[in-house]
Amino acid sequence: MNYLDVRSIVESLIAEEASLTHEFAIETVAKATYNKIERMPTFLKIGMAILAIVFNLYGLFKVGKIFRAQTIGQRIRQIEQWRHSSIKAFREFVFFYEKLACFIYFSQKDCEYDLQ
Amino acid sequence: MIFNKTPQDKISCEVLVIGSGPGGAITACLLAEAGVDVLLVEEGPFLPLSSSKSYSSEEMDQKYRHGGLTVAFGKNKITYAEARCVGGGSEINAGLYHRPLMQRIETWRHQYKVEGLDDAVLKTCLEESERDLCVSYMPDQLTTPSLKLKNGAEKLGWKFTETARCFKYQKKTDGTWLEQRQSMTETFIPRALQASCRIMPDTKVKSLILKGKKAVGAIAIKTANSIKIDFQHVFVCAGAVQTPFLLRKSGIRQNIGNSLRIHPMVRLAAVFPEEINDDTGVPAVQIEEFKPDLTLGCSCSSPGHLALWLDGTLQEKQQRLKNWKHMAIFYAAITADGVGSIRCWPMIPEPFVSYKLTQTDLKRLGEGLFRLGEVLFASGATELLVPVQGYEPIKQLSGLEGLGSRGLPSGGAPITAIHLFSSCPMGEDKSKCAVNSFGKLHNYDNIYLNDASIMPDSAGGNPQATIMAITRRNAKNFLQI
Repeated sequence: MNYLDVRSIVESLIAEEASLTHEFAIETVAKATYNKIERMPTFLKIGMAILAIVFNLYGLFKVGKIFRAQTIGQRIRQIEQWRHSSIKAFREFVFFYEKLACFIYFSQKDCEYDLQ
Repeated sequence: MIFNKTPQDKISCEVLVIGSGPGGAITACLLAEAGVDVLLVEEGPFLPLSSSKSYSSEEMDQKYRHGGLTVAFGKNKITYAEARCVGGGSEINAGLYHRPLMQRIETWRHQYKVEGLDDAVLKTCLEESERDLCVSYMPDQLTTPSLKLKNGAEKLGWKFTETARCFKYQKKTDGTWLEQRQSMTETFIPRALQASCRIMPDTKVKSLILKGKKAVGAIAIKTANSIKIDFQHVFVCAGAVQTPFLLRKSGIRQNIGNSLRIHPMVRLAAVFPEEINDDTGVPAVQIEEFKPDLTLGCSCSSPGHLALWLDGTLQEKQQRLKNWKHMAIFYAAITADGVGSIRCWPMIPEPFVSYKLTQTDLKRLGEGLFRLGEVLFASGATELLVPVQGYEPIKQLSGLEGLGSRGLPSGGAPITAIHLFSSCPMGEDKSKCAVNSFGKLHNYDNIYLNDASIMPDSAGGNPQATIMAITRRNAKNFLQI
């Protein structure tokens, strides 16, 4: 996976509402998520890489653009479709990114004010 | 001496110790203190305890293999924790110290024909570890989540214990306590260095060189340079996954990596009307009413960790986590019947780990969540957030009855493991054991294993104390040969 793909997924997960469009948070979480994915064991990386290709092709098929080229609204819709998909691998793909991004996001000291 | 720059292409020692977790660190230390020329090689970095906050994302990046993303495959994928740093698991765990259940050790003697491990010998080794690691109880009040478990257990008449820890406590002038984890980098590693043990961090042993029944050397990689290590004896102490992986890659396969055992865990988040969580301290209370099959306890409950166990989108989690000080994570860990394996695949640099949970295991895990519900509602919890597919927040115990009676649905909940062992069991029964009763690899003259992989089976709780006692015993036995 390349960084831009990861960043676009993280941005779509974090920035669903205007109150959460903290650029520093998106960049910080995206970089940390990308670093973790780069360090994954090969077995997991292969699976995630295949799903990432399918994820982009899905976008191309549905709206005529790969994921990172879509508007934020289109990206959020695609994530929702995969989150509720009948295909387990699709659900797990979104689940993985959501869990990882959330763990990193809520571990950031800077997000503490969001939890007040 | 610590090697930080790439040494010459070849290095010699009397004993090579591979891996610096509790098994390797104790082995290297005791041998070095006895005058043996020891080289301790560790794949991960040499970092102080203070390099990152415990259980943080930074700590996972620095000290966990693959940044914490290690998975055992199977119908139920299990995320497990594996350290990759000098000191191994002792640098990242909670430091909880549990003596083994003696009836489990008795089982080892019978089922695996482990010799020379009578109660008196084990007790001596345990006591020596306890002295070296300052094993003690928290002098101050227990954390609030621990008190909640204790309170619930008392109301239900359940057996519970406050677990001792490998921590040193010093009272400060303001009356509070300074606590210092007694990990390997604080205890046995400095002692080993003092005894002239050489340590080579950031160095991965790729394979052993075998000639007949002997290992005659090892090939290691440090900063992309290949090093040949010559030795007379080798102790492989790389952990329950990496030890069998290295041996299988080197062509040693008899009873290696076929019998991995773990303590699978499920977790839930409990919500209380009052504040209970200040994200400090390690919960030290465990419920022992259902041991050895089931243990209940509390986990790290920082906002990041709470987010892992909550369902929903980030926005939904954010709403929930505004209340994070009223929440804590509790776990149910089981002694499993299932078994896993470690295999090497061509062209893949990491081990392939798989684990099969049985129906009984899933039933126990479901029962574990039910029992957690019992004790937490008894202690005043108002809501339980259970990460099982199809389960909304639970407000009364009846909401968990399905899990209690039918068990966890297969693939329906995240399962984790922090205790891995038994992948190369010890004993004189060569049909199932990889090493003899003292860790010497069957059918080889100079290869020893001395870590969690040689535990024949669960010791009935946190395995750290048992591992350290056995490795100490085995190292002392080696010195007497």
